[in-house]
Amino acid sequence: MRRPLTALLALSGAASAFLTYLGTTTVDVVVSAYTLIYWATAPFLRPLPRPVSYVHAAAGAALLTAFAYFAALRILAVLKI
Amino acid sequence: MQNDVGPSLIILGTAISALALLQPNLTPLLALGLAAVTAGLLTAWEPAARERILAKLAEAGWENTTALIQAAGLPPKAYYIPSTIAGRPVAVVAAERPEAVPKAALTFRTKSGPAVVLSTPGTKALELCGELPEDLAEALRSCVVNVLGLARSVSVAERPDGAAVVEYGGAAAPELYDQQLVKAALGGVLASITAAVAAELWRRPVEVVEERREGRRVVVTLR
Repeated sequence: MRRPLTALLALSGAASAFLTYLGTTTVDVVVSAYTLIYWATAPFLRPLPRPVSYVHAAAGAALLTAFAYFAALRILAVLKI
Repeated sequence: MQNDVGPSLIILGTAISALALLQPNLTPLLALGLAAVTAGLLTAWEPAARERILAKLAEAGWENTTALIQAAGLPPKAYYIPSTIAGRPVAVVAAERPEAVPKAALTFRTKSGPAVVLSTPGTKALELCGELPEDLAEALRSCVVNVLGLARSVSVAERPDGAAVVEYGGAAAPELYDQQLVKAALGGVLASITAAVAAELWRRPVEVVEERREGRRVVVTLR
């Protein structure tokens, strides 16, 4: 489990540095990038014992919901609804 | 130290996330903060959950041991026998202290009835701890504190009646058979390890007279 967690931290750190370099100031881009990293490392973290697996899945679902919300806002803005 | 890494990461991650949300030009740090919180939660929680599952699976062995003691009609009282007598460190559940233990036996007969020979947490602890100092306090410090990490400190006091009172501070031993009859026979995990180590050092059978837990302090009395 150490390697996937190290990868999660390293990728998130790299994403933070890159987004800071780009001058990002909105939360939606950051949360979306972290959601992608979270689910990319998730298969390598499994199997997890219960109830840790439930919490991990719930956190992932919350991140996906946030991502869907931000994506919907962007799509609505593009469609000018 | 393993137990401190998780909470430390959670606190660090929460602080970074708060900073990222409060300071607009540091918003990208939110990804790093969330990752630290996630890593902290998993580091703190996953080993404990896995340990609980392993202990549950190992309970089958202790249930069988309990059934064996009950089927033999023995009182729940164990005598820890050193390897110099039994060939390996074991506990013998019997109505009275056995004079001799046949090597490699599972059961044998004493003058007062049957006796059951058991491997205990103490047996396995001695395998892990290897060579021990001759002094009981030093041996327990070396084994229980330094090698096994099941307690933070240990002290030994001799009573006038010949019993030894071992006191552990900051005990963190898992409960492998808390609700079983076998606990009354062998004592808890710390008591079993203490008795097995004492039997090896004293080269005579040892019994757990009393075991008391007060918070994270455990007191074991041996004779």
